[in-house]
Amino acid sequence: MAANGFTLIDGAMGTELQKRGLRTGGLPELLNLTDPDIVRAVHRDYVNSEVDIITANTFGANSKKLGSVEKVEEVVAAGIRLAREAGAKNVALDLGPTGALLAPMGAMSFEEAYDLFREAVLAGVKAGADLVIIETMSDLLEAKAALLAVKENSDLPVYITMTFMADGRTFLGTDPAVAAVTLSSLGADAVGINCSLGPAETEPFVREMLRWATVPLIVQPNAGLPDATSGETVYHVGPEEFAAGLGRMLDAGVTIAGGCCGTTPAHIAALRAEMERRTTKRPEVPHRTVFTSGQRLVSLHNSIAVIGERINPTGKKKVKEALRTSNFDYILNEAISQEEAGADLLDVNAGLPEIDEPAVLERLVRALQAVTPLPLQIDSSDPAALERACRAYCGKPVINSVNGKEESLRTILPIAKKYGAAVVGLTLDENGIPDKAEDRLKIAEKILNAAQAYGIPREDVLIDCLTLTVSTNQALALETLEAVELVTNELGVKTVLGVSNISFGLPAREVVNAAFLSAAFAKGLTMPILNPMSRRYMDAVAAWRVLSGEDANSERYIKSYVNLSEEKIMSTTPTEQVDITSIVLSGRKMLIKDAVKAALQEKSPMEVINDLLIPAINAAGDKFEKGEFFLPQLMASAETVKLGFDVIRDRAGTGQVVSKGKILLATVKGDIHDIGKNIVKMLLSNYGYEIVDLGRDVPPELVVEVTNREHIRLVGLSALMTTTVKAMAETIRLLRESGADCRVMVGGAVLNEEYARLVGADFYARDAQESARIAREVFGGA
Amino acid sequence: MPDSELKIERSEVLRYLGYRGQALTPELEAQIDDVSQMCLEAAKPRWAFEVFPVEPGPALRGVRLLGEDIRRHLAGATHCAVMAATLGFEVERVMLRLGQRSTFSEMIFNAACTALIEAAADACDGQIRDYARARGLVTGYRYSPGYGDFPLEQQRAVLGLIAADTRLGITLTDSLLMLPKKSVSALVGLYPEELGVKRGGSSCERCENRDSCAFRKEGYGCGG
Repeated sequence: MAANGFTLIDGAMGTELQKRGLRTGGLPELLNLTDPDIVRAVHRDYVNSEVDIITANTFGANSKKLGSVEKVEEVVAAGIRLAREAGAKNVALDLGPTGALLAPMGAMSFEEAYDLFREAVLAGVKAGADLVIIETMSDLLEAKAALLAVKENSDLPVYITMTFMADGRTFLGTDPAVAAVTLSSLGADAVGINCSLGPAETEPFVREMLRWATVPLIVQPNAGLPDATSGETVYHVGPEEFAAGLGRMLDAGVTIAGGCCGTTPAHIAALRAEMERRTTKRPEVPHRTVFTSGQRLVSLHNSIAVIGERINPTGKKKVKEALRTSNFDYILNEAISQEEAGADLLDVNAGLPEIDEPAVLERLVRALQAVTPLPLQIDSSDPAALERACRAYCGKPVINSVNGKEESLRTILPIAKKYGAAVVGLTLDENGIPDKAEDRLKIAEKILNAAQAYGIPREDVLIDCLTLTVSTNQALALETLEAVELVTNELGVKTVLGVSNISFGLPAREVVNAAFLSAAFAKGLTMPILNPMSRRYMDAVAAWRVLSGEDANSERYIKSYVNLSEEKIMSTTPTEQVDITSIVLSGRKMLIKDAVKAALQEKSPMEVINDLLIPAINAAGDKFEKGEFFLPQLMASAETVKLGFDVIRDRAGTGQVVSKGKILLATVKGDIHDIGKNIVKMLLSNYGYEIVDLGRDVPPELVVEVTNREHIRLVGLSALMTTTVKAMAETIRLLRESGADCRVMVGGAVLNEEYARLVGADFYARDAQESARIAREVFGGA
Repeated sequence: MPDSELKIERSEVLRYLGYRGQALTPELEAQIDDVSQMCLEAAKPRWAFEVFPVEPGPALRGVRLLGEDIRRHLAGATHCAVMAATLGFEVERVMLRLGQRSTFSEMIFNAACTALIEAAADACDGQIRDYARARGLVTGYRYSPGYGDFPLEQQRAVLGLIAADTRLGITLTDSLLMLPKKSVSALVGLYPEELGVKRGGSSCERCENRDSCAFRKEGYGCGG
């Protein structure tokens, strides 16, 4: 486009409007309609600085802010026209954040955000925009929604920038490397940084992005970092200093640049001069195998990565149950446990015939991303499930898997390409899994070629040479290892391998698995899929990281293993015998499991529950009511009892533990303060009630639907704000209208007896203990 | 703006947990201290303020402030600082994760966060006081949308005055909740010294609803 291959973009609009005496209190986009001459004049000043792109005044033009789609069309059309009238060579439709935060931290859904961006994009296309600039993004998922909205609704080039704080993270915790990788893979035409910081503070983050981005870099800093404690907002960096700072970034490889807050036509003219004095330098595009989540980057550059295998219903009753009921607590705990055990990625499989896999997998991916920063490997054979999960995913995921069958290549690879995912290719085809390593290599090659034909970069293809059971076909173990070596050396791609299958049918399977794992590492395996909670496997992983040189100076190894012998001694120390009530009252979770196991040798599960656990939690409840305990002490007791219940459930199976009744809990629509509800849930489940927890920000309709479907007799609703108590009243109204045969208890900071009656509730639960009393009243019993 | 010197006092955490002098075991004290430490590690306390001349109305840069109470509160003020403070989103991630494991820890973490955001708001308040003192002015106490008849609906306009979204990452939901949840917004009047405006510590300590406040009971604070 511009001088010596650089592209020059304009600078701040708001700063210039203020100079012309306009107040920025309202929505600046509306000035396109109310003060078109001033907006056009600002554009013209930038045109005079010879920019290649004028950014239309459409930053906040979405129907949420402006009130209607018609208004969006009007504001966007005027914005593009004014830039054009000012003499712009190219006009960019400008898209800023929606202003509302996406789930899980906020309440807006991905689809809602996507729709807002789509409306603006369609308006921009209609108005004749030449390109789209998505800017000032803090949330990687929102950036993805905007990017998809552009790519799916236009053919326009799209640049995208995120904004970072001085600590090198966006408000939502994304760093420049994660942003560069994720947005490049999603198909942005340029990625980069804008706003928040001045050139000096931006430079190190730009250099980091240059290491990871596979597309051109764009930079639009502020004219310095305003001092937030000076009582006013002033930008101190003048045109020369600004341009000199950007000059250093142009030298480093940036090719597209402009300004953000506080920059003026003079800043941009000075930047132009810097561009004219240089030629573009595109640094070598990195070819690294990388995966990301919103907060984590995992690179296979000189490194192996462990994929945790536990989130898979095959042979796991509790995972099946969680998938069937969409109560993911068990799975989320498994995810955290695997992370703590050292997994680098998590495989996520929701393949059960009796469920709506695409819907469940999508929900599960979202739920997992709220509690773990690990990148996910999305595991399904259903293209529809893969697509929905990839779309919902924040970051660059791995798809598991494609294989050598034409049908598979044709359906899976386009999804990987579209969502910028890496993809695991299984070395099998229409004829099954070949015995010979050479034949598996051929399939791998076919998959790799097909992927590249779809535009998937070589480094994003991972090959799984497939582990077969050694007890049924002993010769094939070595063939698999041989295939790993061939694929690694001949194709130069990374490999994935599930190790557990190898030992099927043998005793002490971990022994064989660990040996196979070490052998596979030696052949070049980079990503084992395994159970990270198995000490033996993680020992093999830690050892290999030392042997391969990945663990420099064996630092990590030494740190983890130096005290190993000591630990073993500690674990053999016998635990003291204490009675269950005193364990519960003192909240000593370490002791409860052994105590319950001991009790089960003399009593039946029901006796342990009724004679020991329930009296213990009642004793804690009494102390709370008398003021001898405050809430954390009651909770500590409740959680201790819960561990006791878990022992019995594991021993007896869920069917044996009789539920005292089913209670639905929800934090109402619009509210995401759910700690009070969580406390109630904890306590009630320890009194033996079955809790259906719908979570937070729950639509009234869902409460009604589940209450009726599950024949629920007690519904508990919580709301913190006066504004959300309205949603509580609405929920209760709809419940009554539906004819649901249930009582409703409510709780939350702003509620009291009177207010509770006013919203139509049957009970006001002042605290968690009170909710237990209410449950007793509704269901009867002790 | 960000300050790593902020501390979480165990006595404050206990207060938000509804503590009334019950016997504490050393284990419980240690757990509170551990969780408070986690909170300090995850939190990114940051704040910003901007000072505006009080226009007739009263109004700040054309934004008319509604209600009798805020009018009375700013009577005599020549300037008004708009401030916001937040702990950022990482504490919310940690809290979601903790909640998955233990409601007990989640609850203590929540209280520790409340103690910390109060400390951050106080620190910002202190900087406003310094700003005022340098100009021969004194400050009043923090007043927030939602107090008295100052409508919560003005939260968006108040935050907009200091661009709290792009500067601090504070956004509002449709139901006017601030996100990150551990955020505070407030107006602080700047008065000529001769008016004799009295100021105390945090806004909670001066609030007339202090003892009955259920927000405090749940460990949230009302945002003031």
